[in-house]
Amino acid sequence: MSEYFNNIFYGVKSFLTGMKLTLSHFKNKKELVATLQYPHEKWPVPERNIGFDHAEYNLIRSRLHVDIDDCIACMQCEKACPVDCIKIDSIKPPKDSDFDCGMTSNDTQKKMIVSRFTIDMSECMYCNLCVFPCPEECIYMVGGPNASKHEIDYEFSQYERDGMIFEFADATDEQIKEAGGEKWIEQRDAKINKHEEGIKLEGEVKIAVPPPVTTPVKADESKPVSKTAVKDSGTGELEIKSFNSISDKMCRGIAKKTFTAAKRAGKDQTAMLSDIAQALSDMGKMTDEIQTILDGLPAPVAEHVTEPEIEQKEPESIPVAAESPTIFEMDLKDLNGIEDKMARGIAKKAFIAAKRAGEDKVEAVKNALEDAGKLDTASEALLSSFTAAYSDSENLDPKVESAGDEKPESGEQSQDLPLFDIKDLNSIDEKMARGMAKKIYTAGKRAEKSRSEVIRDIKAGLSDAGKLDSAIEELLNRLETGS
Amino acid sequence: MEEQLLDKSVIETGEMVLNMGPQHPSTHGVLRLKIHTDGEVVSKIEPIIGYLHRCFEKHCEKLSYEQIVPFTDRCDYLASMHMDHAYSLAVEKLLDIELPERVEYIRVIISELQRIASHLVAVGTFGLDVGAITPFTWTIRDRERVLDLFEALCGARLLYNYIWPGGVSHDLPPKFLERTIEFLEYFDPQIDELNNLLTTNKIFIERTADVGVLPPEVGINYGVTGPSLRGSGVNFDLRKNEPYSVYPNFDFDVPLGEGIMGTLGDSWDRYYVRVLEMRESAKIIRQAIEQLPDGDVHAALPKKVRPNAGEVYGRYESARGDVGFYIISNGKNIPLRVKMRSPAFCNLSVLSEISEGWMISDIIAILGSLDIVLGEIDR
Ligand code: SF4
Ligand code: SF4
Repeated sequence: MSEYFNNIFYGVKSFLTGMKLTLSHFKNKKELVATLQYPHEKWPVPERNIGFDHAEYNLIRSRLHVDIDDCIACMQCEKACPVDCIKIDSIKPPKDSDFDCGMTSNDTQKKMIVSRFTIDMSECMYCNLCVFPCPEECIYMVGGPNASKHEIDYEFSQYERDGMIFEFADATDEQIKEAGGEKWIEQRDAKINKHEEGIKLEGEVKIAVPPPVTTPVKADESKPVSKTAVKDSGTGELEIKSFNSISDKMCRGIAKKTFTAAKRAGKDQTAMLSDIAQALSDMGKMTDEIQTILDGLPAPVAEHVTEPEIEQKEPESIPVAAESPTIFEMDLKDLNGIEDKMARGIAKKAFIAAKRAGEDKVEAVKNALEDAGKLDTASEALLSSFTAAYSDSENLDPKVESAGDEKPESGEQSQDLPLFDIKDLNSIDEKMARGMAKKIYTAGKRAEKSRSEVIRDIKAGLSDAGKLDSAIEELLNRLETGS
Repeated sequence: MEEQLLDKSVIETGEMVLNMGPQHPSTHGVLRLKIHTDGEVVSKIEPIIGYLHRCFEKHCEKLSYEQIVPFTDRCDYLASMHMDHAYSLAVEKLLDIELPERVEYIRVIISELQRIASHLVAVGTFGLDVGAITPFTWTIRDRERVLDLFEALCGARLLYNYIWPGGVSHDLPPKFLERTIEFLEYFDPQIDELNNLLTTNKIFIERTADVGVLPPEVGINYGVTGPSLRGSGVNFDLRKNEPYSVYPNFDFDVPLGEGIMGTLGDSWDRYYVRVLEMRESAKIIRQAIEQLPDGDVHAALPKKVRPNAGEVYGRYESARGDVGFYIISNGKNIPLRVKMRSPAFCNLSVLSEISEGWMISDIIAILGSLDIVLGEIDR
C-alpha cells in the first residue's frame, strides 16, 4: 500500500522536476535557443587562416574550385578522387613547336595545356581527397576566410543537374589547335554531336498504317529532318528521272506514266511507288530487277506498310492505270488530307454513304462538310481537285469500279466469295477494335453486302477510330481473298 | 451455431505477422521487423536488413587504401570518426608504422568527442521512442556543438574523412582546445539536466526498467558488444581490455549496468551506461588536452599506402561496440579484401531473443536501447 503511494508521489515529483526544468529554460531562452532564423541569419563559418600552406588549408567544404592558370595537368587530383567526378584532358604540344603553355604562380613551367577540366559536383562527396595531392595547390574548396578571393557558396544549390557540372578549363579552340590538339577537338565535337542526337531521339516510333496521304506541300512541311523513321525516308524527293535506271523501255514508260498521274493527283511517295508497282505487275512486266529499283527509291517500300496498301488499291488503281492516267477516282484515303479530325470523320462518313448510294461522292462530302460548318479553304481545294477528274468518270458505276471487274483474278474472287464468318474476326487482338469490327460486320450482313464491301467498311470504320493496325489489315486482306 | 463460434477456423487465435518498417520512425533507419505476434504479445522477431546496402566491402576492392576512408565514414554515420579511426588503426597495423604522439592524442580527443555526439543521439532518440520529446531536442542541440567543433576541425559536419592511415588530415585549428574545454564546461551540467528530465522520470522508468532484459551470457553468446553488453554488467571495453592508441595513459572508468531501477541488463541499464559513458569521455578529453604534446601531425603520413602482403584484424571500441576491420593485402595499393565486423549487426541479432514475451510497444523501447545504426549494419 505504501509502495502504491510512493509510486504516485514519485511520479508527480519527476513530472514536476521536468516541468521546472523546462520553465527555467524559458527564462534564459535568448541564449539557449538553438534555432537559427536561417535565411536571415547564417551560421558563422568557422575561422581558419587561409594560405596555400598544407597546414593551413582552407577547410570549409563548400565547393571545389580550380585556379586553372596554375594547373599543370598532372592528373593527381583525378587519380585521387574515389568517385571519378573530375575529368581532365590535356594536350601536349609537339616537341618541335614553340607553343608556350605559360607559368604557374609557383613559377613552374607548364608543359601541357588543359583542354578540359570538369568537376561534376553532383557526384562529388566532398571528401577533400583531391585537394591534398595537388602539387600546385590550385584545386581547393572555396569558402571561409578565403571568401575575398573566391565567393563562398553557402547554399550550394542549382535548379538543374547540369548546373552542378563545372568546367574550369579556359583554353580556346585556337589555342588548342595551336598546341596540336585538332584531333582532340574532333573527338570532342563528335561526342557533342552524338550527345545532341541522343537528346533528340524520340524512342521507338510506331509506323502508322495506312500512312497519311497528304498533298506534297503539306507533307514537306510536316517533315522536319530526322523526326521519324517513316518520315525520314520521305525526305528524298522522288523524281521522274529516278526511273531511268529501269532498262526495259516499255516498263520505264509505264512507270513514268503512272508516276506523272500519281503526282498530279497529289499522292505521297509511298502511294506513288505502290501505284507504279501495281501498274507494272498488272502488265506482267514486274521483274525482280525493277522491284529492287523501286525498293531503293527514296521512299523505301517497307513490307508491312505497302503490302496491304497494294491490296487495298487494287480496285481503284487498275482502272486508272489501264484506262487513262489522267482520270482518277477519289479514294477514301484521299480524305486523310483533311486536317481537322472531326471534319475528316464527317467527310469520310459522307463519302461512304455516297458511295453506297452511287451518288457523286465529292459533292456529297462537300455538302456534308458545309452542313457541319467545317468546310475550310484547304479542304475545299482538296475536294475541288477531284471534281474535274471525277466528272470524266462520272458515268462509271462506282460499284462496278470498286469491285474491280477489270482485274480478272482477285477482283472476281472476292465478289464471288460468300460472306465470311463472324468468328474469323476473333483473331483481332485488341478488344475495342474487335468489337467495332464485329458491329460493322453485323450491320453489313443485315444489309446483305458482299464480302469485299463489308471488309472495306470495317477498314474504314477502324481507320476512322484510329484502330487499324497492320495486323488487322493483314487479317482483313486475307479474309478478302478467302485464304 | 454455437459450435461454429467455437470452431477454430472461425475465430483464429494463431499468430499474426506484423511488418514494422522499413519506413518507421522508431527503427532508426530503414529496418524492417517482421514481428510474429499472438495478440499483442511478441513471440518472435525477424529483423530484415539490407535496405541500405551499398556494397561497401566490394567497393573496397576497387579503391586504394586512402580512398576507402570516406566510405568507412558512411558506414556508421553517427560516429564517422570512430570508423575512420578503426580502419586507420587496422591499416597502420598492416603498414607497421609508429605514429607521432600528437596524432594519437588528437585522435583520442576527437574520438571521445564523437562518442559524446553519438551517445547524445542514442539517448535522445531512445527518449523519443518511448515518448519523451523534449530531451531529444536538447541532446541534438548539444550534439550540434560537437559538430561545430568538427566543422572547424576539418570542414565537414557529418562525414569527416579526417583520420587517415598514418595520421590526421589537419592539425587542430586555432582555439580548438579552448573551445573544446568550453564545450565540456557547458556540457557537464547538461548531463545533470538530462538525468533530471529523463533518466529519473517515472514514466521513462516504467517504460524501460525490467524491459528487454539481456542476461550477460546471452549477450556474450550473441556477440553483443559496447554499451549494450556493458549494460548487462559485463566488463568488456576494448579501451581497457585490448588498449590501442594512448588509452592506457588515461584514468577512466568503464560504467557498467547495475540494475538500479530494475533487473540487471534491462533497457534502462543500457541507456544509463551511455549517459555515464559521456561523463567518462569528457574525463578522457580533459586529460588528453592536458597531456597533448607538440609535433607534426603529418610526420608519419605515408606518401603512398602500399602495405606488404599479409592480413590484419584491427579492433576498436566504437560508440556501438567492437568494430573490426579485417584487411588482406597482396602488396598492391588496393586491398584484396576488406571485411568489416559491424557491432550493431550483432546487437540487432539479439533482439528476437530478448523481446520474446513483450508487447509491441516494448519492442520499440528495446530496439531503441540497442542503439543500432543501419548504415553500419547494411554497409
Ligand atoms: S572532394 Fe572527393 S569526391 Fe569530390 S572531387 Fe574531390 S576527391 Fe572527388
Ligand atoms: S592536381 Fe592540381 S595541378 Fe594536377 S591536374 Fe589537378 S588541379 Fe591540376
